[in-house]
Amino acid sequence: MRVGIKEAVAVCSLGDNRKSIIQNIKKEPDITPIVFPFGRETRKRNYKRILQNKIDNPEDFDAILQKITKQLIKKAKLTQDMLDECALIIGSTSMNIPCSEEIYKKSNENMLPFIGYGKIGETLAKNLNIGGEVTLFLTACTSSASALLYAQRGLQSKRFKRAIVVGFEFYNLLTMSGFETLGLLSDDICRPFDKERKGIVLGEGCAAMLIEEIGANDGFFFEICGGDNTCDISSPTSHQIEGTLIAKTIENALKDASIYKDEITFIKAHATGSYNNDLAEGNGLKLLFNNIPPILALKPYVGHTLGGCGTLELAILYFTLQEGFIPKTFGFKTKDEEIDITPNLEEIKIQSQGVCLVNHFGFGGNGTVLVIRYGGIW
Amino acid sequence: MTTIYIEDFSYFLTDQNRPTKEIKKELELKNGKKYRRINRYIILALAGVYNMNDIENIESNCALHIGTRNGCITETIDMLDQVHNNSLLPMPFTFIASSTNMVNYHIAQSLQLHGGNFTISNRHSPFSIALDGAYFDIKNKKNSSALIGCIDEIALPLDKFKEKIEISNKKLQEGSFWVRLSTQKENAKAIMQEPQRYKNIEDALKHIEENRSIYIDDEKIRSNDKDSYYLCSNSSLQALQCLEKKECKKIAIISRIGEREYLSFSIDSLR
Repeated sequence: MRVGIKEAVAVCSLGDNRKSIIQNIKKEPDITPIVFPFGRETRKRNYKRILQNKIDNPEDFDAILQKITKQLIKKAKLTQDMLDECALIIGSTSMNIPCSEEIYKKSNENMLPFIGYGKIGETLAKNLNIGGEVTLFLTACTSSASALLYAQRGLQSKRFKRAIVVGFEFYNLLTMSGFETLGLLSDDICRPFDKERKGIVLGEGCAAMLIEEIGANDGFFFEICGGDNTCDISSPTSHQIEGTLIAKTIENALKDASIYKDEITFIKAHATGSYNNDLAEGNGLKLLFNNIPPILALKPYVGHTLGGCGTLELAILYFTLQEGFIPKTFGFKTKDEEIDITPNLEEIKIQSQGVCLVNHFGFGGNGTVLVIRYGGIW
Repeated sequence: MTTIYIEDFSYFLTDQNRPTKEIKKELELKNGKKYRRINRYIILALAGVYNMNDIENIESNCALHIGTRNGCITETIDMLDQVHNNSLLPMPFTFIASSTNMVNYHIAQSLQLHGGNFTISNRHSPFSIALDGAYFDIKNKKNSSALIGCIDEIALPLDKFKEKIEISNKKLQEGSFWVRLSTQKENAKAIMQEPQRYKNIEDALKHIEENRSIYIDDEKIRSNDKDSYYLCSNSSLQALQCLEKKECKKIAIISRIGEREYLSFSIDSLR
């Protein structure tokens, strides 16, 4: 069975619909830093916000997840019968911390306002009448990428007929403070593989995708051919610098997808812009490929949306490939000789089918790689 | 057809009064390892997994599927307090360890596992979803074995926590429980049949043979009649304990996994 993405919707700093995301990815993104309160002082950090969607209370939080998922259901023309046989798979790092944090600030209780992640999924499924399994993935930055892999495997083993996969990450001071305390945040733009990198730029976003069996007559197709997930136990915060396990994960994913490495058209790298991630991912790619295909980094546009980046960055690819182009990587200035990787600096027009490798590597040693075959009519 | 076996089952349960240091010391004495910078949530997981027989000889490509209802909440509450009430930045290692999937990292590191690694949650039955995913990954040859666990911890103050999770009349237990699945028949404790899905509980019950002990995992039913209550997939834990104590030979676990979706597992003891 061929499983693929049939429809996608997204909201991020580039816009809240397909058209605005495609338009804005061709422009230079806003690079103005924002002032954040860290401990007893304030510091400027770059951050990619969704301006229209401030999350100040549980209603806002549920409303945005509901809005995005509802849009997907409408666009994909899913009937109630279809929703009855639909799984809901969710991936996020912070989950409902943003609204928990807001309530915690205002209350005198020394207790987390919302306990149990399952309620997020249950509320969404109940409000939208989605009948099937509800599963939430909590694997840090790979959360929604792992949710996509789980959905692909679930369909192939006929555990469900279709799945809505939702990935999200919303602003909260706890996450910002945590990354700040690790010294990882940048006040500049995100510059993956660049010698002038200054660190990670976090962002918020939400994307929902419909995963279904795809047919021969689907026109444009976006097939999840396979993937792999591994655990690198060398460090809790970064992958093995030599890139051995990253190369192994990619190799396993290609084997799972029955794709040869020379069939890869381009790579959507994880590319966080942190030194360790850039070096490990770069080394992993160099171990595997003699000639590395063009590398695309999307975090300079939308920031690192942590557990939400799996679906958000894939949704952006889904939109741009459907439009017939691979975006350029924004903001790259100076090649880092130690890593020796230059991402694609010009937009690439596509007119034939291809295969894309989608990398995600996160805290806790988690690595998820997906192999996507795309093609159809442009 | 691939037959999938339960090689072993283990658990570690305690209450909130047992000091973390004591559990950690007992664990380190047991496995001879030294653990640094890990929180109670991770220690509860390790204590459960190291109660499994022959765990040190587990194959390195064994997959790890972990289910949790609430995740690592104690440290999250502490950090919220630090950031919002004391205007402090969280400590780096506290922040890292508070990520719920860090428990997978520490188990994988302690056992030297490199295989697939998933942490999932569900309101009613996180363990069943983890078990289902692991079963099909083995069946479809993504892995040859898997360690499936369920971990949850109690947050304090206890009365507030009980109020939040809507349990007032039971003694709460925290900790972890574990199942090891593989295709190896040798020394296996039970056979696990292919999980089945149903649209309602009546249908699920209808398909279960008469001689099976039935356990239902549904947050809204909370079917157990015992005084103590484990926070996560409580009925699955009880079913596996029944099998382990040889109080029953054939069990069925029915778990609610969605608005109108139930999973049913049938497990037959081999002893």
